Amino acid sequence: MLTGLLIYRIILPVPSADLPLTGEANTVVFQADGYGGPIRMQMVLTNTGSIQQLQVLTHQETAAFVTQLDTFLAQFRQKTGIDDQEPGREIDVMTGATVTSRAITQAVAATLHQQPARKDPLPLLPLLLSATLGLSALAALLLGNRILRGLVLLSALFLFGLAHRSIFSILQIAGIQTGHAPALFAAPWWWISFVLALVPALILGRLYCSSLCPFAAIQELLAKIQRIPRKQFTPAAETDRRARKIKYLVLLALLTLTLVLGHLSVADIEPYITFFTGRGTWPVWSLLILVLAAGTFFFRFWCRYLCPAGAFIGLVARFARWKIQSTPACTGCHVCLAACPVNALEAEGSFVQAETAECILCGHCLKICPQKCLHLTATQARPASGTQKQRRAVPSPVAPEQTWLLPVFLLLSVLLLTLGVMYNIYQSTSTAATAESATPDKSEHLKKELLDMGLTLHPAKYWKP
Amino acid sequence: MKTVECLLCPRHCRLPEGGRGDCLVRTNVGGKLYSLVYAKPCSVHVDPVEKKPFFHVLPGSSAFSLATAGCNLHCLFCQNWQISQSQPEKTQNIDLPPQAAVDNALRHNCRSIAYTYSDPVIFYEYTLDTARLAQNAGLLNLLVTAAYIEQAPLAELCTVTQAANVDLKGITEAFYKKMCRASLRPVLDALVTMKKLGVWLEVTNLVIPTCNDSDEDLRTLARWIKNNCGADTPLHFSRFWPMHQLMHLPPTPEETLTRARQIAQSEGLHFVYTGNIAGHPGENTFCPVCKKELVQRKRYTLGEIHLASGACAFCGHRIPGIW
Repeated sequence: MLTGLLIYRIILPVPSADLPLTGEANTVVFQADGYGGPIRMQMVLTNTGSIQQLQVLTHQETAAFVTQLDTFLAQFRQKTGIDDQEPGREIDVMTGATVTSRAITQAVAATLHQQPARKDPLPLLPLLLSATLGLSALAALLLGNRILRGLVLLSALFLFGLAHRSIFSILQIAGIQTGHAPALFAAPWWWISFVLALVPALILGRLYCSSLCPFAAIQELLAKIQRIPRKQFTPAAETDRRARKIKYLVLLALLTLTLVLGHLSVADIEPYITFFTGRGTWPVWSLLILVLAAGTFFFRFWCRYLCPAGAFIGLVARFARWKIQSTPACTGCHVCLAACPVNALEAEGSFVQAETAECILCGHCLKICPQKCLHLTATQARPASGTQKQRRAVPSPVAPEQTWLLPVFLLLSVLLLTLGVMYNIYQSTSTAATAESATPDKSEHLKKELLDMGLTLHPAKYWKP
Repeated sequence: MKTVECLLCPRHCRLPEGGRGDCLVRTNVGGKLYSLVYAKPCSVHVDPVEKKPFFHVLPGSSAFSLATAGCNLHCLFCQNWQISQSQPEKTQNIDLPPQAAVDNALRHNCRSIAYTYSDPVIFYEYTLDTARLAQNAGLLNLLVTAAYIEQAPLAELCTVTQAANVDLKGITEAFYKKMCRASLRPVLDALVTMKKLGVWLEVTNLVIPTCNDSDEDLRTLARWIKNNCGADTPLHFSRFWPMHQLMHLPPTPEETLTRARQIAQSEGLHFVYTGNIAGHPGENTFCPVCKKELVQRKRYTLGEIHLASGACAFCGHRIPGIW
């Protein structure tokens, strides 16, 4: 399939043929720095300088953008100037495409005023709030305070999830991969989630997944709900180890596809974006429901097995020097191994350490260790010569094993992910196609509109297509 | 995207679906270009032909004058900006098909139809069809235009045009660029083409204080007309009145127009007139040979006329024009 796509990309012409950046007297072609790269736009101005028409020529944006585009652009009609100081006030932003909305608004305003785009002020409040939350997460981890971690997770749910819909996403990685990241001041939340996810990962692991990801909060809440009637399932250790590799495959597939197709929207399949924005294609909606359902049976189902963003953070976290590991005081009882909710601990005799790529830094093991010998530390205490690596020496006493439910959930999820990606590919190529040929409906509508205004439509002479 | 490129005027606007040209009256619907103002004039009047101004075309006759909204120039000094810089849906238009225009012109005893006020270039198709019918009905077709038009459509238009008053707004590219958002070259080319195709030409130059009233500009303009259109081409120096976006400038002083007239005459032009100043001697036509006064004018009314079938009544010199 990949070869097929490569051929498609190389042999077939790219649908977004570049128009020259020219400015005719009344038709201006300009560019906005969108979420997924430059958005080429065309604006037709009347002589009084009001916007007669605004349209997108080519773009790399996600589904949320495409579905709301017409309504969004219609807001600009008749305007002679846009208040670019507060872009949200005059023009309503598109849900789930805030960065894009702001970028377009500012580019239009700048084009109308014919001055370079405004410099955004330093986003002090977002930075301050996020820094506080990040430091609190760190403090909760270092202090081993699970209540504080819960609070941070809840705050993240409200701040990053519900209020600003800024969640670290594979779209960010895919965007950088195709060479486009928004300016820092123009999209502070984009950079905040990016930094919060990747900087701690480099040092001590998946702190973001632990206590800053809003969707993690949702999943931990789901686990709580399920815990009321009964315990969640814990998959067999080996099954879990195999299953969690899926997310790396998802990551690889998405990054490859966006690179090959050059269109960011292909990777727009993360159910948590749909969860917080309320917008998504039907395969992603189905996936969201499935993931939420699976999340009640399996702790952090999405994070552990499917999340491509988590996989990316995990890959970065492999380089982390700080990790949870045991001191020589460890007796090798391996209670921690059984207690780890994500099966991230591995033991070599009486030495235990966390796999930084999988460990979600929940701190459960630190609390449960009878010797209190597990610590988050950079000091390597590993014994010099390797005893046999041992994983999950103690069978799990906490929950009944389940053999068939996890594979079913995984299979369905992968199926829906594939469907979602295919749907996006179809959409991104077909939107380019519909932009190519204006539908007769639109022409009829235009005709009617003009005739209703009391004008004639007399075929003109001297023109060419 | 079904973009079309309009080839009517030198702007060559590329219109996306639903987009309008720079003139505001041509639009792309479904990948085809349409005129929005065909048979939809917003100004229809019966004017003395002197008002256009035409001084060598049937003096004292009436011209049935019509215009639609829109223009392909955007002169800061536009005297008709309310219609020329407006979208056609914002003006009050009447339905006047070509045949009806001709019928009305005849009913009002007009000898000609003048396509004027905004610019016939932008209501090209309407002008062309009306002019064909008018020609068959024995009416003259008069264009009052800035001549900002491509050569091919101009050539076709000239086949039905008897006379044109071309508003040559300045004689430098800089002036056209700054004051009209256009360029000079196509206008000069159009003037030469019209002359070549046998259209009776009169040229008007609106003299704007500080903008195009230097001796050098006036001299260059007069010389260009003499060399390219002939010494017999009437040149009208018209008085500027503060308008549109040039409200801060004073009206043109009478001395400036007198000076302009003298310069143009010294360059060898035979018929140099002043406009928009009533009672100025520059309104009258003098015989280039015997220097006697042949047509007396006061604003748009005529005084004594000493013309005998297009020739000087005193010396018999043929005065060029349509008499």
